[in-house]
Amino acid sequence: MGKGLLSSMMHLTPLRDLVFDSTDYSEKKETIFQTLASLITSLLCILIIITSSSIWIDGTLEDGSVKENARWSHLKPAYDYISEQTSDDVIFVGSSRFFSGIDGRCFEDNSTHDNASYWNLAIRGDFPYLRLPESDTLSSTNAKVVVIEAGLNTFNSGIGTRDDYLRWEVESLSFDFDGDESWWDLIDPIHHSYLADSISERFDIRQQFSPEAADEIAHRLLLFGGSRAMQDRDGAMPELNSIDWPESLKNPPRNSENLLSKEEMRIYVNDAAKSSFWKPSSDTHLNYMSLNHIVESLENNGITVIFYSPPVHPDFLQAIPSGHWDEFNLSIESIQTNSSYFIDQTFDIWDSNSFTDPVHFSYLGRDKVCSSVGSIIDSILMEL
Amino acid sequence: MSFNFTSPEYYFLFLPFCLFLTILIPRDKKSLQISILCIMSYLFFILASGWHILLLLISTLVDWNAAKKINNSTNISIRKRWLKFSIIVNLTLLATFKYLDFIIKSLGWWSLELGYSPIIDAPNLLLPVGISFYTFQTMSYTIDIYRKKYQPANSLLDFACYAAFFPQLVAGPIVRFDYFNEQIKKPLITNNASFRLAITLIVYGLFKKMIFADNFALHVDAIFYTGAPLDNVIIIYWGALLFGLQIYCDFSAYTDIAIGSAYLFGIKLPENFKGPYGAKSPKEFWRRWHISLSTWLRDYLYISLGGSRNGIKRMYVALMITMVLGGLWHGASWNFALWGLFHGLILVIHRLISTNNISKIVLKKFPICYNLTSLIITQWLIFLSWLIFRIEDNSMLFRSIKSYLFMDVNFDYVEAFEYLPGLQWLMIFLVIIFALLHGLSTSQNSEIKYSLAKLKLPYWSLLIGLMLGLIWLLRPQESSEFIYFRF
Repeated sequence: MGKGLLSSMMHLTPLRDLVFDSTDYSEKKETIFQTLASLITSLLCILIIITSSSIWIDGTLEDGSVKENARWSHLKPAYDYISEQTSDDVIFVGSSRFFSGIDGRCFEDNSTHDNASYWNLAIRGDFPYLRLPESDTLSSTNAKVVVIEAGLNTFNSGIGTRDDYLRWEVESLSFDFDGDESWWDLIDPIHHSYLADSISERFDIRQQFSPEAADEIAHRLLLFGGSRAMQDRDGAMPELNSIDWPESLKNPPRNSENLLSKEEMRIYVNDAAKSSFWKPSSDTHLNYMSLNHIVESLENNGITVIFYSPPVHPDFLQAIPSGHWDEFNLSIESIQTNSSYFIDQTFDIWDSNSFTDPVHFSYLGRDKVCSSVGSIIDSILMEL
Repeated sequence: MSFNFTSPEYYFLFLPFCLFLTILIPRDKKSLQISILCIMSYLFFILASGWHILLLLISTLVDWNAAKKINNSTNISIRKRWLKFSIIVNLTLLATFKYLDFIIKSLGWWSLELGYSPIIDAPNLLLPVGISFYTFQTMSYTIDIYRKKYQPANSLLDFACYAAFFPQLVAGPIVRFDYFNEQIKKPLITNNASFRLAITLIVYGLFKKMIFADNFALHVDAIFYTGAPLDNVIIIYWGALLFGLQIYCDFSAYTDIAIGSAYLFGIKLPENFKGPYGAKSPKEFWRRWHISLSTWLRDYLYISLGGSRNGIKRMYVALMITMVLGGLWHGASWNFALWGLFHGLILVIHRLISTNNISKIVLKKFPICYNLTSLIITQWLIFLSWLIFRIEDNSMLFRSIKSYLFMDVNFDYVEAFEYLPGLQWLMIFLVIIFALLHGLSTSQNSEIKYSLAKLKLPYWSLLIGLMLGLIWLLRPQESSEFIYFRF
């Protein structure tokens, strides 16, 4: 076998003397100083790689190319953006039902209040417990009003799956937790690992996403800049701080409406009516306690809280067995007693074309929410 | 996951502590150094495999005594008796813990096939870590003493340290006693140069294991999983390629870390790999792949079976038996036996072809074309053999081999791309980088890691930092256990 490519190259160029030791490594003597300097160089190199990686890892998380729900990583900048505004802000927080049902732009256009801005910061799959780590930032936004979803899923005693806690991990990269927050004690200790409260834990979380982020960068390099995030995806967020971005915080981007067929709706309604997920409880479960904590934190900061329980598909309402929502009614009663504002549309009968499925709103339903709830919130704003 | 070379405790506690203790001992107290190394090796084994240390102790004591008796006697029958005793004890331990379940389960299966219910249940014994390696190692010692290759160990301590030396205890390389003993005759000394080489090898090993092998495993595990579209030729070729690279990166990484760890104590272990995917014949492949096992099988099995001394037919039989047993050494499963049989067959076929005059003429007239064709055919067969090695389920294996041979297949790259569990581009990049590194190592006829260790200090430290940084970034969340831990 002839000389290898590398060794041939090195022999041909003066680079060899620069890069390789001229003596054999077994004879080479190095001083302690040199050894220490080399250790420091290695450490610096590691630190530079690790710290600089956050730029592209966070970037791919923000644009939704690594994890589909890019909205998670936009929450902190959204709260910051809202707190910088001089308007009278109304923030909606809730689950996919709010996500599909609240058009902040429509609320704003129909408002008689000159300086009001309506922000929809709902997240699909949201529970009050999952919203807990945001509670301090939400309270410090100087919003005038926060509208909290108080629907069937809000009072579910379940507190999410592993996938839900991915949200906490992503949020940990932008929210500044240090473990001393007032809500920290409410977090189940087994979930503490999902909330990074130190620099090293944040780097560990970044490491989890780094192979996927590297894959995305490789994808872009090979396709000359083509990002997977640019795919036309429902709920995909525009680039952070771009012109379209504030609008996406008012009216979450939805690509199309997937209306269920009658048969699909029948199956979905039957399943939902039997499902424990849609059977709220009234005990002092973590979601209930978290909701109370969030409300208390908001009120302590002078923010008015409005609860809103949206309607459901009329077929769903009919399919619910008697007594199925008794505990939900108890929860609602308790909230109504303790709070000044509660918009309860749970048992209102709306046209079926207001919904895409038993619980989520169609574009038509969204407009109806805007017209029916907008005026109530507007009047509350005038009162304040 | 058990204590091993990817455990942080190994690098942050065990290795520094062991090194610190050994260095603290004055150079003139060599036996104390060996004692510490031996104790630390036992500690390593306990952490990795618990009570199975008793098996290692039995093996050590039996072979130590047997070798002594063999050496002390001039009576050939006594010498033979002690050799047999040593081999029987070692093979019984190996057979009990590695093959008993397999034998009972196979018998049970045959009983059911013949309409009888199985008489006994398999005891489901846990496979002791490294048993295949250390039993072969200690057996080689008694056989060598019997063959009068060298004198037995001066002390039980030296022999115990040889049998239990922690860097190579669990997955090799399988070292011969004379090779090891030469190095522990003098005090264990490490210097800057060997320290730098050790660090390079350890970091390079971790780089191969955690970036290449563990990432490749993600795709391999998804491909060779029930329900995978194995009729898709792209999936099969991608799976075969990645598994071939995974097993090489995984095993050679272990060896690099083992050699690097041993260098820290001034002990040099032999290389186990020399660019196997640059081999242009099956015979060359076995000179480049798991060298310590293939030479062991050659020296202690193939030659004992007659080797090439008794004519060509007997040689082929000896070769086939050696390869099948070599396959079974990897594990108690029929697919390992089949893998060995396949390698035996291609070795025999290659020998038949290469001794043919036509191939000699072609080689002389068209050397580049001949070498390139040989390389492609050899590697195509090697990667086919990896399917046999990897897939235990018969129907999946059959389907995969059919696809590999382009029988009854489809060629759907969209399905392939969508089926794979993400990270497709990263994998392609890793394969390209692997090919470059492997190609450089093969063409230089020396692994690139040794060139890296010779870099000038500032470049070397940058490279080490870069590799460690990349390990931190690109390792998958779940690290898989070293494949050869199972053997």
